[in-house]
Amino acid sequence: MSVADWVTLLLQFVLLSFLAIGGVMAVAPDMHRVLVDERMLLTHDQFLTAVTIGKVSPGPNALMVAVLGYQVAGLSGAIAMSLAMVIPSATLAFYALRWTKFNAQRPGVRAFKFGSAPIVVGLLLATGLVLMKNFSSTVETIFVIVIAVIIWRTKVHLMLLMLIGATLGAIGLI
Amino acid sequence: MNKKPQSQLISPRTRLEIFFVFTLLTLQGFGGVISVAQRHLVDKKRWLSNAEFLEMFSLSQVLPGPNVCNLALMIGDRYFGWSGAVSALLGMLLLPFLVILIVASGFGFLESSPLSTGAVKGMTLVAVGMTLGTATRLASGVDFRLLGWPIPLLLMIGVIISVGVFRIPIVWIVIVCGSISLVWAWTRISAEGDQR
Repeated sequence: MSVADWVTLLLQFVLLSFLAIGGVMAVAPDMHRVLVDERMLLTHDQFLTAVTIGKVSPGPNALMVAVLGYQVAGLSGAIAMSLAMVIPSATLAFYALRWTKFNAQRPGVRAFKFGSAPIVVGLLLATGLVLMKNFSSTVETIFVIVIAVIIWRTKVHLMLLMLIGATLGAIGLI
Repeated sequence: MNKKPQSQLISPRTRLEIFFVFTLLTLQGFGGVISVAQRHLVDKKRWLSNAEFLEMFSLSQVLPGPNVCNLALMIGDRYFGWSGAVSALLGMLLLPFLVILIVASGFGFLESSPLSTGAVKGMTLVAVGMTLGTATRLASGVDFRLLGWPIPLLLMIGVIISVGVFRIPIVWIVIVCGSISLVWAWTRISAEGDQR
């Protein structure tokens, strides 16, 4: 990749950083579109792996961006993409938080809070849809839906579900 | 239970302490840091009351970036200004960043045998299920009582189809659907205010 390619790629991530209300997973469809469909830097499976590593590693899920960067260009890619994703939103959030702390009851702030919720939920569901793209078998789809319902309705620990998934996968049931 | 939590709150003494506390809690946060953060900051360290934590958390959700990172920024800022915020954010991200790279470099080896390939695939399916499950759980956070059913539901379906199926860049979706949603929420909030 040329320097110009890198600059435009990082700028795309900077834009997504500003849009990541509801977290980095909400803008995952765009990261997928840019990295997998448009630039073909990663395969769909590599993208899925990054999401998975983000969930099994400690810390914010947002660090999946570091894995994406690592897959594209090693350590320097990981650092560059993480900074592009973290610094813009953190800077914006820092100043906005100072302001909202004293203005939380203004109708504008409340409208923002209530109004952003449906969009965030829609974006996260879209992320799920994009990630499910290449599922070949019905068993896989059913398993994913079962996990989704368990997460939704119960408080089972995520790592226990990961363990179950790994076991079922290893013995070839899913 | 504590009757006067305010008087019993403790302040962090140094930026380094902030860094270490956030490092410690983020390393325990597998698949979600928020509940660990609540336990550490409210129950153990007593930097915040539960009410303060909830208020900060709801503010952190309104802004871009990972919620826990925004929470860290707020808490760091409260005690030491911007340098405290930077310490908290670094604590939140620095060590997990190194850990995740080690995990990522080790993941390649897992794909060498059919047994571990299957295990990775199983975990991937769980990760996708988690994303859908979290989204569904968050749907209960949409205030349908205030906003009514039709408009939020139409917006949600619109976002899912335009982003998930037609892959339209999110920036346009946020501008178009986001503005509709904000204006609608604003109208409803004003209408609610008038009724009182």
